[in-house]
Amino acid sequence: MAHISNIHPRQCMIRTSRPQSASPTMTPVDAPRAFGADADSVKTGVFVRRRAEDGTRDDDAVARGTTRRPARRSDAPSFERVLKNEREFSREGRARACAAAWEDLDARCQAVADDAHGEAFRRVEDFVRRCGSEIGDGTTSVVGFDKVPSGVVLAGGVNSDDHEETFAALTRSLRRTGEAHCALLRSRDLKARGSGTGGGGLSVAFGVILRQLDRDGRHWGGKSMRAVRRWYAEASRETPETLGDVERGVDGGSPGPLAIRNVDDGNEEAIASGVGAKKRARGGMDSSAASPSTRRTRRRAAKENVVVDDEDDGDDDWFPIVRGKKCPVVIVVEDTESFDARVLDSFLRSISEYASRVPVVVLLGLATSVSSLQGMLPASTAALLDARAFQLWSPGRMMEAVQERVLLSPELAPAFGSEVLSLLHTRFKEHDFSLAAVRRALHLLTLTHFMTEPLSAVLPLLAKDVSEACADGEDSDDEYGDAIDQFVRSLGESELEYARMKHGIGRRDGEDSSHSNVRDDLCAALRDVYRLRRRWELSLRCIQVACVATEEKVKKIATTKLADLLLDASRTGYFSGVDAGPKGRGGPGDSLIKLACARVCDEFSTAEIGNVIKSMLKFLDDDEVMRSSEGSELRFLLSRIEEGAFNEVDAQLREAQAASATTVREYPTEDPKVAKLSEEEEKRRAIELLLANRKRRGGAGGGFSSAMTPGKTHNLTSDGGLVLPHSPVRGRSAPAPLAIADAPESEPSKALALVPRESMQSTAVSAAANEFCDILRAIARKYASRPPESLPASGIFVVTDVECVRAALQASPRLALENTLTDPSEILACSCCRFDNATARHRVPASLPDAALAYRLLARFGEQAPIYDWFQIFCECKSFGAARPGDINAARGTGTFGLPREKLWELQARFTRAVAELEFLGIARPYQKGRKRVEYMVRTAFPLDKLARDAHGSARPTERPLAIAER
Amino acid sequence: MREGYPSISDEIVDPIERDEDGFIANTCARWAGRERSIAALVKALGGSRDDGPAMYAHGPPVSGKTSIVREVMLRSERPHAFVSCATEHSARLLYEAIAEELTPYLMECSEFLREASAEQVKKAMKCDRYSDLVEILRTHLPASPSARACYVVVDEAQRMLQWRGEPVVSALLRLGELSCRKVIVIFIGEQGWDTFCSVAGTTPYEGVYFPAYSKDELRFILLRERPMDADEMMYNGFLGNMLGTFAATCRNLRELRATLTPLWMQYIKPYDAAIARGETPPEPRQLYAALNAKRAPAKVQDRANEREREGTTSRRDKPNVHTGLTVPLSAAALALGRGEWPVAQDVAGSGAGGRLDFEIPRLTKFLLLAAFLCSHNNDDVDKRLFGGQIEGHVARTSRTDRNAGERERAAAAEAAVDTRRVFKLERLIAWFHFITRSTCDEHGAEVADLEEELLSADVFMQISSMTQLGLLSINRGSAMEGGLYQCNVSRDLAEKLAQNLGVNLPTYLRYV
Repeated sequence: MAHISNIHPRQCMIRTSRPQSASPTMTPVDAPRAFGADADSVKTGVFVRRRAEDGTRDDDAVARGTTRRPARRSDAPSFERVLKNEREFSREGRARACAAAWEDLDARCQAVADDAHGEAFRRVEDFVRRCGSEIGDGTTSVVGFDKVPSGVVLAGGVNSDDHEETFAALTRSLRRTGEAHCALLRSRDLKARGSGTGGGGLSVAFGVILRQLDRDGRHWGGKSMRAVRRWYAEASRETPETLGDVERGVDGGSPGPLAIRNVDDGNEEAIASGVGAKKRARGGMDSSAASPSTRRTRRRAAKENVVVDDEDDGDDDWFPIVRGKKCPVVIVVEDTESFDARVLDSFLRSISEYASRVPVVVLLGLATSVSSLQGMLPASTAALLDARAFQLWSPGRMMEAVQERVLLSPELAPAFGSEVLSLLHTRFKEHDFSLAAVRRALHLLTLTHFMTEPLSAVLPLLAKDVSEACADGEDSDDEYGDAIDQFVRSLGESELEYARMKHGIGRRDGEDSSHSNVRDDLCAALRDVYRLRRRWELSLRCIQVACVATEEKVKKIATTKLADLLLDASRTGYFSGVDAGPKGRGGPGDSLIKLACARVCDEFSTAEIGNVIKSMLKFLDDDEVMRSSEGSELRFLLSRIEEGAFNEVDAQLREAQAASATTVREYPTEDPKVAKLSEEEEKRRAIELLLANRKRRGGAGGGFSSAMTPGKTHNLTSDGGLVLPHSPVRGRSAPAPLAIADAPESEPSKALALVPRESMQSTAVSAAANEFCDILRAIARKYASRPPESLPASGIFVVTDVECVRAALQASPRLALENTLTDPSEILACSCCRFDNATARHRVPASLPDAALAYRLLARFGEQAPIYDWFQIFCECKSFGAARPGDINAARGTGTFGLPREKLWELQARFTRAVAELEFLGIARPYQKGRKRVEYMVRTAFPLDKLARDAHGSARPTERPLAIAER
Repeated sequence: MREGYPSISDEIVDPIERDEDGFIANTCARWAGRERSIAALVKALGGSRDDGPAMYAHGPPVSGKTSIVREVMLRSERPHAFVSCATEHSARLLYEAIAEELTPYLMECSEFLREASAEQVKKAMKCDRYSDLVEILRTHLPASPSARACYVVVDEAQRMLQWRGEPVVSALLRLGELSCRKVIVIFIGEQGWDTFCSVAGTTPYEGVYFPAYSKDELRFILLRERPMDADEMMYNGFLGNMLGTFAATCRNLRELRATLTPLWMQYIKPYDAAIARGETPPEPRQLYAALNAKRAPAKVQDRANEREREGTTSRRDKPNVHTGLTVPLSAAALALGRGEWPVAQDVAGSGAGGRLDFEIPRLTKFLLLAAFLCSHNNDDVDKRLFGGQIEGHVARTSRTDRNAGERERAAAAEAAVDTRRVFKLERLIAWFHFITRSTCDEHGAEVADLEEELLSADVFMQISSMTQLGLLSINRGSAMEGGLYQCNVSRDLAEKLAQNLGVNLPTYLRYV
């Protein structure tokens, strides 16, 4: 939500790739620790880091009229050696793999973001296009009806860095249509220019807009809507230009939508010496008729129009310049809530005044809701807006899409472990709601994994689809295996030893683990990674489909989401207990499967089961093994359902159920149809009734659903009758079917009397439901219970270390500062300054650094300290070790506080410096109380000593109560 | 050059001078219900060669001031400059705009400007200051006593009061005097001239008042603006129904137009359908009843929402046509604009179950709640609530005064509707810690990493984000130097947040 940082990969690499305390022979286990230890105590996440514009130019580029492209993000970093004898090409391989992995991951996240906003952007474009067509018709020029077409773009979440990207993308998208002039307005553009509120802010706003709209710089000095009207009149009068008009030196494209830059004047000579500039001068743009400021602005405009040498990704920034036709001017206001209400009011009023002459469409970006805009604008101004609302994806929905489409994908290497996924999810939900922050964290995790895992160079091989056909016609599986074999063969001894020690590869019972064994096992483990991960993914999708179908059937509002399932199922053992017996204590996922099965048995008709099967088959068909085993079973079941093989049995069951439900207080008849029911069907019917009764009473019924499986039925029956040994005794609310079981066979009427009068559904527990549940359990047991983290050699391709994210992104600089000042012994590596020394809890050691000493004394005073008293105690502490009491008495009278003048002067200087340091650190500030000139030093933030003590769980004494109590 | 000005050399016949009554009648025919104001304005303008003091047209918003003055000036073909303080938001821009607007007329009058090149004209008309404007007018306007008067119309004049620096109002009032030419300034504003008296130091010669439209006038105007294909009788019936609902709360023509256009589309649907089927078309009463008829939501989600809504609102059915539809930028108005019908009325606590319209991080919700409590609770409440947690704190002894409890309750009731307090960052953080930890303890949540998270930089960045979004604002000072914050969270939002987080707000909301 807030701007945390835009950490460039190079910055990360520079910061993290040289752990000073790490020795060259450092083991991979030590490396992350060293990374965390050597990170700056003031965490990098605190500061806003933006990539500086690459202002360097080479002469050739200037001569060509191009600027040099800044280094791309995907450039491979260079990694330090993590194994003792790690070879150079191995390190380079890791670096290349890292660059490729991050590029892939980033592209996937970006694709999600693009897809997320794609529909809303299209609707906005249609809206703008419609406004443009109305201009052509002249339908908007109604005198006295100056409504401004406006779109309220609701982002639905509070995070500014995502907003920045979203609205920049929206602006780009609108510009690329070539049907509108488009400008982006941000509140910080106004604040950065020192305008604040009032008319100045409005001038700056129009200046910013004109700088984006006017590519020639003729109207850059405009400060009002009148100037925009002048520009619009010129722009719509001009004849259309062909793109790339060399004669004017202005291309039909622009280097970027946000090119609101004040280019330094130092480069003007170089620009002026360029070919394009000379041509412009001859064309009259630099004629003497124009004032110096006009000429300067024109040069700046021309400079911004110099085309960037477009080789790879320049298409993203390209957009056509619209001239010679009347099309709307779209002003995108990125962060509407951050604007001053008066400026926004005047801005909209100004636009409204010219609505009939300059067709402006305002797109107001809102992070919260429309009500906040209502609160900002007066009703008279709000009435001027002809508003339409456009809802973007909320951040939570975006995150779900990233989890489902990116983090779950088997093509993504490395995979992310359960702890990492939980941390990302928690941070997202609780801290920032920012997808940009998630991407930064993913980047950091990827980088750290490749930096610390020596075998990570294999990951690009693991991200390939094994079943994908090769272009050369060879068997792709062989090629895939060969590539992995080749990688494993190329491993050196140190890498193999590392694989054996770290990942447990090659350890076999009763056999010495030789390198060949390690190679074989590693090869075997890595070959199956993609397949197993894909099956895991497909199984989760199948389970989610089944769960959602059952939840929708029982009209639950919140259905199981794949993102939540991913978080849960990535834990090892989540689905492990599906095949456990009735007494078995399975994993947490058991209850989910059991509940789904119970609902299928209770609520689903055979036809509905067929629909669920069809949905599941779409996923199962993607994998050959799953298709041939569970897929074929499901397909067989589906074919029988479609053929009506279960119809007869279901009809019988329904009939029997209906009869039993309606023949209350009736004696059973010797109906031949009922008599024909098999013994097993009778049991099933009884269980169904029991479940229905349970459910009616409020019980979930899920606990008994496992008993529906054919294999378990025998455990629940005894002596041919229905016995439910595990059902709890509930007194009056005991389940009714118990009466059926306990009732003597001679009195069937009593049993029937307790049958619920109202049946749950007209469905019946058919063999189809049983079979379906069996297959679903099998899918959960065989595939879903094997998350990536549980696979062999998972340490190579699964990121499990979250400490780097914690260390880098969860910064608490103030706490770190206060902790360090309170107890600098860790930093100084000395024992004399320890704070929690029980013997010296009330003593402030003189050996403390001056700043730490001053801070600790200040903490004793509480919220504020009188300077005089503070200095006096400081002198006492510092002179305690230097002079004996006798000496002080001897020197009494020679200076203030009984200290010799030289000593006092020295202490005064040191104290002044310490106080200045505290002030510089933002911990304290001077304060003068009243006219008495009593000076105090006030702690600028609340005292964290108590909280810090709680946070660390140590028994630090409270020297002074919290300041809040003293007020 | 502006078209429409008769050439200076021609024998000019002013339309007002030629037929004043006809002019007024023609103008009144276009602007219904403004007869008195139009007549007063035209009479105040007088002859085209008359000189006079400034005029002031005033009245509530959307009462036709600007449009009528503009039309009168255009139809009378008198030279004028029309500028708006909403657009020209500083004195310099205003002078520049006046000069630009008058340029066509000045070029007609001045021989120098007619013969000058474009660059010279641009230089001669450069107007950055008031003295430049006076000089331009003095130089280029004709000085003869028979010359026509020139008008400067300044719309949204009340905005000039907010401008700091030079006294623009009084300067404009003396424009004719200082330029020694016939320059008449017409101000248009919402408030009466009294608001200008202290600034201007003078009273305008004539004030023309434009009252708000009455219900009948609104009906007449809206009926005249009916859609092309609408039957007059039917639209009249539609207006009768709608204005009966809306006119009590909204007389703004813009808002009514925006609401009635999509409502008419919904209103006429059964009629068109009946005509298409060849049936007898329903009567207006039936159409209005159909407009208010409830429709069952189709989706499961909608049904759930409906159930939740029923839990919070009264059981009595509310009509679909409600006054919330005319509120600009309200959720109901936006939904109506999208073509949705029926549109639920915005009610307090619409986020049933603590559901918010937007997503914010969990810690931010706690921060906002803390800010709300800081702004509503007195400092003494802090001592009572936090006292038990602070070592060395001595609880206050019980009160001896028997009426103290009543006084406290009265003070709390007063504080509940009173203004909000500002608070320091330290207090906000203390409340934030207190609420977060208490809630986690109550809910049995894991608090292992909570303390460190509460002290992380994220919390401070979230405060910064809240300030950017206007949910918090810095009242005095700056954030770096211990500024005082103010909470802009409404009670509804605070209650939603509390419900969302599972915090019992009344437990902490003590006021005094």
